[in-house]
Amino acid sequence: MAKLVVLLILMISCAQNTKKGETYLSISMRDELFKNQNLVEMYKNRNDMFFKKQSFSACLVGWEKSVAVFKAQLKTERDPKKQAILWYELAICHNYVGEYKQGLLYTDLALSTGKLTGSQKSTLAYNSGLIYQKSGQKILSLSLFEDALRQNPSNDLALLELIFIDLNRFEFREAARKSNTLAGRYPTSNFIKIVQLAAYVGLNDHNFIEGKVLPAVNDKSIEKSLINDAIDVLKKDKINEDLIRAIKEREYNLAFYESVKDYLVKKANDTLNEKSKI
Amino acid sequence: MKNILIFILVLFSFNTMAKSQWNKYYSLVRKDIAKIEALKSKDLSLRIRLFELYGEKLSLLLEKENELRINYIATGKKSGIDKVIALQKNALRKIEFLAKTIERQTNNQQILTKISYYRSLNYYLVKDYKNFYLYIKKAERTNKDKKLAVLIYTKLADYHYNEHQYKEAAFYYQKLIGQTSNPWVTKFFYNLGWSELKLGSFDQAIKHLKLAKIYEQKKGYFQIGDQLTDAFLLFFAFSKKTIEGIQYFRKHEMNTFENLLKYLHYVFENGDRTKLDVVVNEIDNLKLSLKQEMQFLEKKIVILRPLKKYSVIQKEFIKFRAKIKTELNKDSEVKDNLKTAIISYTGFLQELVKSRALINQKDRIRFVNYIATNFNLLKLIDPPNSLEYNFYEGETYFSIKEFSKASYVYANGLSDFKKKNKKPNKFVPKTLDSLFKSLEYIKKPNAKVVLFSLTAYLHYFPKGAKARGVHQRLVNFYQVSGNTAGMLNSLKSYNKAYPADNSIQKDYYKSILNKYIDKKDISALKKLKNLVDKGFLGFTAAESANLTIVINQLYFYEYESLAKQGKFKEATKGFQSIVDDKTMSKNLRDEALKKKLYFLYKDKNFEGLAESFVFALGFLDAKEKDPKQLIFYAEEICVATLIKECQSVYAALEKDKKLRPSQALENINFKLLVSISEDFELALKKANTPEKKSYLFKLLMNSDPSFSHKLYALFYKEPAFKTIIQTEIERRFLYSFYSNLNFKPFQNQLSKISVSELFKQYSQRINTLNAQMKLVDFEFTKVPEKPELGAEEFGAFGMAFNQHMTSIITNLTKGINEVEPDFLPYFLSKAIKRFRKESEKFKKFIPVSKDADLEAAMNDELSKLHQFLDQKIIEFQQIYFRSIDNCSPMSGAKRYRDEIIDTAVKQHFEELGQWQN
Repeated sequence: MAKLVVLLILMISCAQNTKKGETYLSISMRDELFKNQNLVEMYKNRNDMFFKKQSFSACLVGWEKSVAVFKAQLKTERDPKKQAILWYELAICHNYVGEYKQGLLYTDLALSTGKLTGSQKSTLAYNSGLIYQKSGQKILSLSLFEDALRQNPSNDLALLELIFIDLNRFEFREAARKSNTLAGRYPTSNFIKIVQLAAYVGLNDHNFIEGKVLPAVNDKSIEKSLINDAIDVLKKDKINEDLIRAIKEREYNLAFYESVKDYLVKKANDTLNEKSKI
Repeated sequence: MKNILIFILVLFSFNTMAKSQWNKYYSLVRKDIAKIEALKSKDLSLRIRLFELYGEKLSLLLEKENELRINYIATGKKSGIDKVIALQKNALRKIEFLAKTIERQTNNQQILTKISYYRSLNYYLVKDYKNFYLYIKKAERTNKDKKLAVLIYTKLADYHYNEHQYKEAAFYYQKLIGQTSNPWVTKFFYNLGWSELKLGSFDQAIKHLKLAKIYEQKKGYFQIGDQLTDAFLLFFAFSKKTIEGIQYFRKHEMNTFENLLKYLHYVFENGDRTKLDVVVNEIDNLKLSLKQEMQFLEKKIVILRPLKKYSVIQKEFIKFRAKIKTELNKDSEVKDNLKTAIISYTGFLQELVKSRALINQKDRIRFVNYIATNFNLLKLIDPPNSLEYNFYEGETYFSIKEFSKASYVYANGLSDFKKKNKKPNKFVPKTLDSLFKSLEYIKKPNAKVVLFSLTAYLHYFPKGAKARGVHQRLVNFYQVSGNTAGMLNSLKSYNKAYPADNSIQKDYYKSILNKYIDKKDISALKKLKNLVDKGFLGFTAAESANLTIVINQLYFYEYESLAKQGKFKEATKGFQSIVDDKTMSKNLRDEALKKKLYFLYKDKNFEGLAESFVFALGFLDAKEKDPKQLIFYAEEICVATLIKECQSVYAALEKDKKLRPSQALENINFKLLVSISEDFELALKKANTPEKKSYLFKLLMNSDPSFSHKLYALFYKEPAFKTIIQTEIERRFLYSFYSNLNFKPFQNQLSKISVSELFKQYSQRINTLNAQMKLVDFEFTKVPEKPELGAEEFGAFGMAFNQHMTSIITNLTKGINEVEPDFLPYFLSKAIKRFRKESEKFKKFIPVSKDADLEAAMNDELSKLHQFLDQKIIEFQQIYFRSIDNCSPMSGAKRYRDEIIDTAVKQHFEELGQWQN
């Protein structure tokens, strides 16, 4: 505790002593950055094909240095295209630390140049979508995710967010369609298999799950048990209190998996309730 | 002082007393003589008495003569001497007359011997040694008295000794030395020793001297004192018994420094010179004072020089120098003697050096070095005359054409002299003269020496005969060596001494100015300009103004050069210093400020640029403000997204009467402003384009997702924003409802929304929906409660049921038609649930009749009704599932797609939340 207090004092004093023109991190910014670092680390550690393909900005590990470099370059860079890229990078950096106003500012500056590629525009749209998603502006975020996908049909994160939106609207058919697209791009990704699983559980399609999802995952993977549980839930006849308890007791250290698990439990409980009515 | 007075008084009283005693005594003698002379007849005793009295008178007169002679020496007054001499001659004649009378009058040998003896003494007193000897020998011949014999022998021995008749003297002293009880025997031995020494009998002489020493040490004997010691020193030296002498001195504790030094001298002068070192060593073993050291060294010089032992002398010098360490400032005879000895010796060496024929080149160099050493030693011994010694040292080098060395010696000497003396002595001009001459002979003279020679000359003789030339040479010297400060100072001195040479001096000054202009040395030029401004050397105001222009040009050149070297900080600092300098013209300061802005931009110091930019807008004259350039700077600052700086620059531009921000600048400034400002109202005022409004709206959406900000009400008036607001609130409305199955959570949100129109709209909708939901609050017609029913009763129930059912179906159909499609699933769910409940309740009704056919018919009818009700439920369910599909995707109603809505489903699939790169 004492160490933490000392660290905080140091951080505060460092922030207060910052020289003119230098970029520094406040405590809340550091917390947000730390959260994002942990999130990316957790995804990367899954060793999943989908997450492996995702890249992250240098800002994530060396925020102050990167931002200082970008800002310094902004002073010297006269090429509008390169200026746009610097703003683009700065927008990404500010998102990492929860400075969404700044993120939106740099996003706007970068986009206003008209010099960004489709892929870059797609990324900024996706990140903006994420900003609005966090603030509960779901319509705006939906349109931005859709815009991101329009700008770059290969923007898998945008596609994934749209799947999540579909899932949360219980638009399982649409979710299944999009997840199949992702599954085609990431045939060995267990994560995408669970995304498919969520959609097909929503569609009560245990055949697809048995035929396409289950065989694609490793027997020892945690995803395997989740898929098997889903099949059991969808087949209904195996549903009983023991199964529901067993499903509940499983732990998946990924929020999405846990929500899929919860969905299975809900479905199992519904089935059990129906059975009891009969 | 008091003591001195007492002493003088005592002396005076003694003198007075002596005079009065003499007078008294002389008067008595004269009276006695007169008494006896007055007698007509005088017998032998009276004549002897008269003889004695005249002897007394002669003695007194001789005493008087001495007194008068001393007085004559002291005062120059000769009075009385001749008279006294005349009286003496009279007295002597009387004595001679009386003596001859007595001789004729008696044959008494004893009386005659005494008369002869006293006659001889009288002659001795008047220095008539011939008659003295005549009568003393007569007394010797006639004397029979032993005691008188000693007196006669003593007089004779002393007479011969004084007459250098040593053989005769030795004869009489030999007769006297037997008188060992005589207190004077020490003197007899001493004089005998001397006589024998003179006769070459050294052993006898030393022997008798030793005896003299023995008796002298006894009580009651005449003390010879230092003479005896001196005699020993001489005798041992003379007899070449140097070592024996040393041993004797040690034995009798006579080996003092003074004795040994004298002994050294005697040995050198008269003794065995090969034994000089023995004496020197003996002295060396003594612990000597500085004074003694000096005496000793002087003696060494005296004795070693004739022996040509120059290197030994030089070593002694070195030893001596090591002992004294510091300068000897106290004057003394001993020091003077030593100084004289060294000078004499060094002079001798100089002569040797000059005389080429006498010595070879190697020795010449050696001697020159000796001379230098000696002069240096002399400087220590005799500091006040250091310069003189330096001069002569220099002259030595000069004489052998070692001009460089000579110049150093002269210069060093003068330098030392200058430190200690304000005024020159006679050697200063001599030394300076020689210094200049020696420098003329050197091809490349040492610059420091040259400089010193010039400054030293001017120091002592600023207006001397050569001063004008020396002034110019000094200025030239500094000019050539690049020493401007020196040149300037020398020029000032020159000007002070020779103001008439103004034009020459001005040329010199201009050459300095040109030099610094070439070097672009502004600080030096500014200092020089101070003098120009003051009219130094007659410079005019126009010349000063020209110099100012040159300096200003150089300033710009200098700072631009710094910038070219990448030293932007120094360059901008420099330009700022011009801006700050109120003595400079405004035009120049404006130019400097513009340069500063440019180089701040080049340095990418946008923070500094922003600060200076704001300053510049207030400082620069309107005509100096280049809109294109200044707007460019402002844009660069803003593009670099230096938010605060951009704001300050923009604010300054807005205030400026001449400049207007560009559209691009306006846009970017607006965005930056919004990004840091919480004042969206102010931002909206500035949002004068759709682009800006859109940007502001986006940020507002992020900042205030609850739509509570009053700006939403303004945005809501514009269709584009209205749609977005409506859509999002509609989504929340539906989503909230289907997540909670009631309106309350949304109503809570609604209360915060700033758009009153929306509040009304949604409140109304909720009221309508709530009213519509009441359509499902129906109950089927109550079944008859009678245990047995008749046909009429059953018919009446059936009619009522049908009518009521028709009404329920009509209401539900109305609801299905009127309820908003997004809420229809909920309406239908409620309806179905109600319908199911009522059906189940209705199905429990089994009519009973006594009439079996009637009972069967009633049950058939009821069965048909049951089918109707089931059919209706199926129909409603079908409509429900269709309504689910018809719901807006954003509503979240589809979570109830499997079954009619009963309890709220809160399923949420968690997103990844990962930022994209």
